[in-house]
Amino acid sequence: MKKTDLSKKRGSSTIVDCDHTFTIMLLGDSCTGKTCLLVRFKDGTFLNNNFISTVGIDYRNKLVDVNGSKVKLQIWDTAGQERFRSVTSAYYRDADALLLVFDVTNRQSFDNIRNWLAQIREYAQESVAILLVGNKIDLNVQRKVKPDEGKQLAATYEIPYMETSAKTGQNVNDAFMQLASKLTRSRVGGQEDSNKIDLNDSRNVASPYSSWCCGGASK
Amino acid sequence: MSVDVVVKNDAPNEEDWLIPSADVVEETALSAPGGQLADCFDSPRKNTTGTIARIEKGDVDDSSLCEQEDQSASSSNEDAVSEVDADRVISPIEPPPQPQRSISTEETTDALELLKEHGKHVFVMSEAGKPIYTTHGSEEDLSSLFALIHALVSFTTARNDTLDSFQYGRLTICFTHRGPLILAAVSRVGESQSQLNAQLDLVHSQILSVLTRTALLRVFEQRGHNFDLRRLLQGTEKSLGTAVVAAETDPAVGLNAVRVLPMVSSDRDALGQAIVSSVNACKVKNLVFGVIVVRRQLVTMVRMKKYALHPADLHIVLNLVACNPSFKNVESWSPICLPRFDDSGFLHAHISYISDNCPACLLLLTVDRHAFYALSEVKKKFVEKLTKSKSIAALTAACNGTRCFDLDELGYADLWHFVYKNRTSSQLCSAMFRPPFISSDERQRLIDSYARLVDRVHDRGDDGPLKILFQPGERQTLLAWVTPNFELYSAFSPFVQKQSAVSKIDRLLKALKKEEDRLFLVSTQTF
Repeated sequence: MKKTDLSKKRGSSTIVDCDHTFTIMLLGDSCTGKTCLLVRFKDGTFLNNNFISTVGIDYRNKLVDVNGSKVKLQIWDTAGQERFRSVTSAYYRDADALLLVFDVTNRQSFDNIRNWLAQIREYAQESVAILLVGNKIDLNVQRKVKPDEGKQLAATYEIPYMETSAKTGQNVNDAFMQLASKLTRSRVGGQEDSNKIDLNDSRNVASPYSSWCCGGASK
Repeated sequence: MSVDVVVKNDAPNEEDWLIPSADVVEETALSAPGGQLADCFDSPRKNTTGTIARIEKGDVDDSSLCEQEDQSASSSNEDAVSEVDADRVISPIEPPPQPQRSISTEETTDALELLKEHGKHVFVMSEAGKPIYTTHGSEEDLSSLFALIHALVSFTTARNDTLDSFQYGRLTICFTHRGPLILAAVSRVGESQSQLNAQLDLVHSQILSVLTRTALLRVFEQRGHNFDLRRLLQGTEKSLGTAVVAAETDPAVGLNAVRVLPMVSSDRDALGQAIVSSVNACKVKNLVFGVIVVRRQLVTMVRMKKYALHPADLHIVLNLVACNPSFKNVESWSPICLPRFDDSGFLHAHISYISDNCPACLLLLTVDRHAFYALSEVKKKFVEKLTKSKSIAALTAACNGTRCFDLDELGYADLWHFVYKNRTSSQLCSAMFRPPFISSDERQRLIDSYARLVDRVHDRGDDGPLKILFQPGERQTLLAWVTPNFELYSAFSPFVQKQSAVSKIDRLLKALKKEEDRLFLVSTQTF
């Protein structure tokens, strides 16, 4: 919609090998596991014990299958540090969907979600799909954010919520695929309907997974 | 005033001989840049010095017990230095026989213990004394030490004076006060004041490279003197530390030169041409530099006509790539400030490894913050061109090939090692390590000797650098040769004769000249 000429060009050149191209961006404080989520989704591996922080923003592609159509996901992985905010926000506009990540063992990263959402409102497209993700649920003992709190916050902003573990892989694929299929549906269904679908979807998506996570948390 | 003599001297009991030739400058007394030091420590300041002295006396004792770093320093000389020091700098306060610490809380003792484990430390703090960075330990644990450094610097600043450095035994402490930051380096591995200052410079540049000078000034202006800058530097601790380590372990950093990957010149040219033609094909404007690097070595570089890339800036780029494995298998886009190029703003870097099998990394630096997609296209085109022309195989082979000059080719058994810097291009070539420099300790000791040699040659105030310095020693004989075009530092067997060493260096220079276009980046292409 508001993309540059070059991104259009990019789209047209890739049209041969895929039906749809979407841009997803990972946002959230530093050390919440954004890169780990992405690497788990893309390569099925976990960057274990190897703290590597992202510099600026990283760009990766992944081709996925959504109900028989080939979807190319262009994924922006961002550095969470404050000094990179202006760089990353320059690319918010390009995103069709945002994966907003916090660390369930780090209260501060959860408390900052409101600030992130404010930034998103300011810079991103209005129609952008957002998914709130609480990561690192494998570290259940150190949990500082209850699943209900995540759910509640997500409900306030009318966005879906999921809890994941990049370490075990739990829900990681689903998180990305939910976004991919939602984007595909909204593109096929047309702009007018997509906004409505978004909201309804949110609730549908949120419930099964968050209850799933609650089970895990109560142990 | 020979405090600095011993610190600089590789082997104090050895004599230095100069080659009797017309253009040799006679080296009489070693320069003692500590002159201003004496001025700093007039009576009201001596108390403060005493405090430092007491703290570090413990360090000195310890280090002289485990005399690994500098075995060549004879104990008699060590004593002599202490005496000279005591006379000059801290005469009114006799260092107590037992290490007594004026700061006596338990945490502080622990922190100081931690400091003693390391030969060198760098501290960065704000003008208000707020800790920002320490190479070892945490800023919180060392807060009392930060406070002390801050007090020393503020004290002199308040008297319109500048505290540059002071020395106590083998310990050298240097201070730099720049804009809103105060930096200090403490070393007991025998580094000179100018070396430490250069390293503080490097840390300062690293900080600027992630923030820009403008932003650094603004942030303290807007958020107050008490702002915790660590918030903005989060994640850069590693690159700050690595920059300091690189300065210690790689002579290129200290000599302000860049290592170049040896490569057939036509292959190197092909890479530069491929970048330029890809940039033109994609109609990209505003690209300032295109650089290919591998393992802290420059492969090639293209640039906008008007601009050149300063070696100090190039080291920031090399350090960025070396410290961030996150650039692998992905295209990255990051702001980076190159302080020598422009310390008031960011360049934007498209960073990507050339392919999964090639360890070289391509950086495209532009002033346009929205150029990612355009540069991504350039990169794609560039790789296509390389693959088509088979240049990629040549590049990969060069990356996996020898990274240094092989002295075996010359066949001189007693020429052990050298470092050569082309002064016009600021590029550096060194020999591959060979016996007797086998262990990393032995190699490091050689690098340290070079650093002292460089210091002796250059640190001569208004006299200008020495031209030739022949310095026989127990471990090795060092020969330095400096002309307007190059600087050469070499290590020979201790038994080498002057004439023989000089003629071998002559042959070496001829060999380097012959291979110049393989060992150096002779010309850079522009767009």
